[in-house]
Amino acid sequence: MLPNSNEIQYLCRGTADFELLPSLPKLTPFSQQACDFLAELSSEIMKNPESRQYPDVITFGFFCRKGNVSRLKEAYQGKIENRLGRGVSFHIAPSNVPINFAYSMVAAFLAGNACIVRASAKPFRQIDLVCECMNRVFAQDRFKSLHDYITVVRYPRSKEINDYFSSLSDVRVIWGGDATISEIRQSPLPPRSIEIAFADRYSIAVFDAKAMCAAENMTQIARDFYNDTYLYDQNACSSPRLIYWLGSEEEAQQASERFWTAIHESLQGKYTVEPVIAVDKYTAACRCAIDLGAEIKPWRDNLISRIRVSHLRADVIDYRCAGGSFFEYAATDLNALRDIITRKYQTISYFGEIKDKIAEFILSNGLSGVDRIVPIGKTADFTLVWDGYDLISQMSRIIDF
Amino acid sequence: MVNYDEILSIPPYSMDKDQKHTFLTGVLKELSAHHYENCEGYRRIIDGLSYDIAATESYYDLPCLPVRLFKEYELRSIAEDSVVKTMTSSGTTGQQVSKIFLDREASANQTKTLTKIVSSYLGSTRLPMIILDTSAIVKNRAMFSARGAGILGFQMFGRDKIYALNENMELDVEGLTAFLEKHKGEDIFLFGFTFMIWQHFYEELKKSGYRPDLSRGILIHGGGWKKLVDKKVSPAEFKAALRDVCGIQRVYDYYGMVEQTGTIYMECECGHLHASIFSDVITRRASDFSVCEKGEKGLIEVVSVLPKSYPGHALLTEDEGIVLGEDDCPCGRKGKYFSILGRIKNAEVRGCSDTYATKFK
Amino acid sequence: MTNLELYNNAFKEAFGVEEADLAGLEYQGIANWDSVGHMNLVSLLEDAFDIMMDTDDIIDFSSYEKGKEILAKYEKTI
Repeated sequence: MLPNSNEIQYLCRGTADFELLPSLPKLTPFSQQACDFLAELSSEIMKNPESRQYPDVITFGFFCRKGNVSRLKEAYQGKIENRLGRGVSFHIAPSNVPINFAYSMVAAFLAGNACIVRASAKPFRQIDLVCECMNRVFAQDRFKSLHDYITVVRYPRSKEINDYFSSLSDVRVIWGGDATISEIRQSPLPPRSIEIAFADRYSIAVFDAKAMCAAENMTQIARDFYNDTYLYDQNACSSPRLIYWLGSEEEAQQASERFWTAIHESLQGKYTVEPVIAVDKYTAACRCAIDLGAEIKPWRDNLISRIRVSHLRADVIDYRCAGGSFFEYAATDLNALRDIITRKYQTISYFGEIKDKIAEFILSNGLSGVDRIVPIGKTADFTLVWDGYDLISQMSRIIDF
Repeated sequence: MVNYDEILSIPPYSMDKDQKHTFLTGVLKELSAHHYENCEGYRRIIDGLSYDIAATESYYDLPCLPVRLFKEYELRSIAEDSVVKTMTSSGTTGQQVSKIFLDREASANQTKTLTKIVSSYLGSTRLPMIILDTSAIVKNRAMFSARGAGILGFQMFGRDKIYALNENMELDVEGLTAFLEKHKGEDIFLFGFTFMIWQHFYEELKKSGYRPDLSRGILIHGGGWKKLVDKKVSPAEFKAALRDVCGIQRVYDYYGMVEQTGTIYMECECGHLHASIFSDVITRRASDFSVCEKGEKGLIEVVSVLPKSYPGHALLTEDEGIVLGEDDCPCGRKGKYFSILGRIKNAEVRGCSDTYATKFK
Repeated sequence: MTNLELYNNAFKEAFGVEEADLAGLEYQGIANWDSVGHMNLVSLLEDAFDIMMDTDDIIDFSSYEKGKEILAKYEKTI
C-alpha cells in the first residue's frame, strides 16, 4: 500500500494504481510508440512560448526531437532487437538541477520501462512546464494508452514512500550524489532488481595551449566554457575544476591569459558572485596557498578565481570550490594525471586536437576514473551513455535465443 | 617594532581620517612584515598572492585573511611554548571553532585596549556591576570561550560583582534586590550577551513581575543579533523592552569578534557602532572586494593593531554592514561609524550533488 | 508549398521575423536567434523537411544563406 499518499504531489499521473505497473507489457527499446511520444513532446515544448525563458527546457525539447531520437536509435541498430525494458524504473532526481528528472525518465522510457520519477522537491517552474507539456500529449487519443508508463511526483523526504516505490522497481536510478545514494539505499530493492547510482564526481579540462593561442572564435569558446561551468555554478559533476594546460610554461601562460580574458568578458552582466561565494572562493584560494603552495592569480575581480599549482597533489580535488574557482596546471604531457585520477573523476573536456591522445592515455594507463571525453561546451550534454553506463543496455534485459 | 605603550596612550576616538590612515598604515604594515617572518601559513598566502608588503601605501591594500581560516588552521606567529592563552569562538556543537593563540604581551594588550575604549564610556571609576549571565560560565578557565572571555574582560570595569542568574539560569531576585538596595543612588554597570539578556533576563522579568529599578544603569551588551532577528526583535525594540521592565536608559551594543578581541566597536548615544583608532572596518563589494561607498552594503573587513601573536590584524569577516560616515557622528567621536546587517547567507548552489549546502555551512 | 516557402516559414516561426528580414540573417545577429532560438529553428526545419541533421551541420548553420547550402546536403534544394 502506498503510505502517506497525501504527501505526494502528482505532476504527471499515469497509472491510478501503482500495483498494476509490474504487469504492464514491457516495451522494446526505442519502440515506435515511445519515439512518437517523444517527437510529439518535443514539438509541444518547442512551440510553447514559455519554454523560451528556460534554455534547459528548450535543450530538453531539442533532445527529444524526432531527428535526434532517430539518430540515437540508429546507433543502437543490431544491439536492441532481442531486448525488452526491465519493467518498472524508479528515479530519484537531484534537488538542484531542475530538468535532470526528464532525461533520466526519457532514458528509461526509451529502454522500454515504465517510470516513476521523483522530481526535485524544490518548486522549479521548469519541472511543471515539462510535465504540463507531457500531460497535453498524453491527452491526445493516440498516446492515452502510453500514459500508464509515466508518473512524475514530488514529495518531501520520506523513507516510507521510497520503500514503497523501491519495492515495485526493477531498476532504480539515483542522482544527487553520495548522501542521497546512502539515504535511498536504506530502502530495499527486490532481489532481481538493479540500481544505477550517480555518485559525487569531479571533472577536469585539458586544453591544448597552442590551439588556444591560435583559436579564432574566442567568443564561442567562452560561451562553451560557460555552459560547462558557470551555468551550474561550476557544481555539476561534469564541470571542470582543474584546467590542465598541455604545452610549455610559456605557451600555457599565453594561452591562459587569452582564455581567461575571453571568459571574463563573457561573464560580464551574466554571472553575479554572491557574497558567500566570494568569501568561499577566497578562502579556498588561501587554503591552497597554505597547503599546496599555490599561486593565487588575481583576475581583476571575484568572477574567476585562478589557483595555479606547480605540481598536482593527489588530493588536489579536495580543495575545490564551486562558483568559479579553477586549479591550473601546465605540462607538456599528461603524465601528472596519473597521480590524481581516481574513480571519483568523471569527465575530461578538451580543446584542440587531443581527444585521441587523452583517450589513449586513460586506456593505456588503466586509470580507475574518467568515463567521458567530450569537447569544451559539451560536458552537460546528456547522452545515453552517462557516467560510464550505457543506460539503454543497463535498463533493458536480453532475451537470448 | 610596534610600540603598544605609545599606541595605547592615544585617546581612542581622537584621530581624523588622514591621521588615522597614516597611523594604521604604519602599524599594520609592520605587523604584516612581522607575521610574514613568523607565520608560515601567512607567508604562503602573501607569496601566493605575490603581494609586496614593503610596497604597501595604505592598509586598505593589505591582504586580509578570511576568518574561517582560523577554524581550519592553527595560525600563530609565536613559538608554541610562548602561548599562554588559547581563545576559542563559542561555536554550537559540531561546528568548528576558531583558535586564537596569545602570548603574555598580546593578552595584556587586549585588556589594556578594551579598558581604553570602554572607560571612555563608563568613566574611570569602577562601578558596581551586574553580570547578566550565569556564574557557571567562567568556571572552566582552561578554555576561554568567547562568552567567558567577554565576561572576564569586562569584569575589570566593575566592583562588587553579582551574577543575575544562578547556575540553573534562574533569575536571582533575592540577590538583585539586596544588591540594588546596597547601591541605591549609584551608577550601575551591567554587562551581558544580547540574546542571553533577552531570553533569561528580559523574558524572566516580564514573566515574574519583578521590576528592579535600573534607571541609573549603564548596559553594555554584545554577541550579535542573529537569534533576536530570528525572533523578530529589532535593536530599538530591545532597548524599549528593557526600559519597560527595569527603567534602564543607557544601553550600548558592541560589535567584536574573538579573532580581534580587545578592539571592540562600541555603539554611541546616536545608535552607531564606532571604530576606535586601534582598529577599523572596511566594507567591500562581493563582486571584486573593492571598497564600498559610504552607505553601500558590503562585506566587512576588520583591521586591528593588536594581533601580533597570530596573523589576525586584517580579516575578512562573514558579516555584512554599512559604513554610515567618518569623523562626523553627532556624538563627537572621530573615526568611522557603521551598522551591522548580519551574517552572509548561504547561497543556493546549482549542481548535481545535493550535499553542497550542508557541507559548506 | 515549395522548399523555399518551407524554409522561410521555419525562420519566420522560429524568430518572429518578416520575409523581408530573411536575407543576410545571421546567428546571434538578432536577439531571437540565440542558442535557444537556434534549437527551435533546427527542430522546425527537421520537421518541415523530415530530415535528421548532423551535429556538425547544426553548429555550422550560421546564417540564412549558409543554411541553404547545408540543406542541399540533405537533398533539399531551396
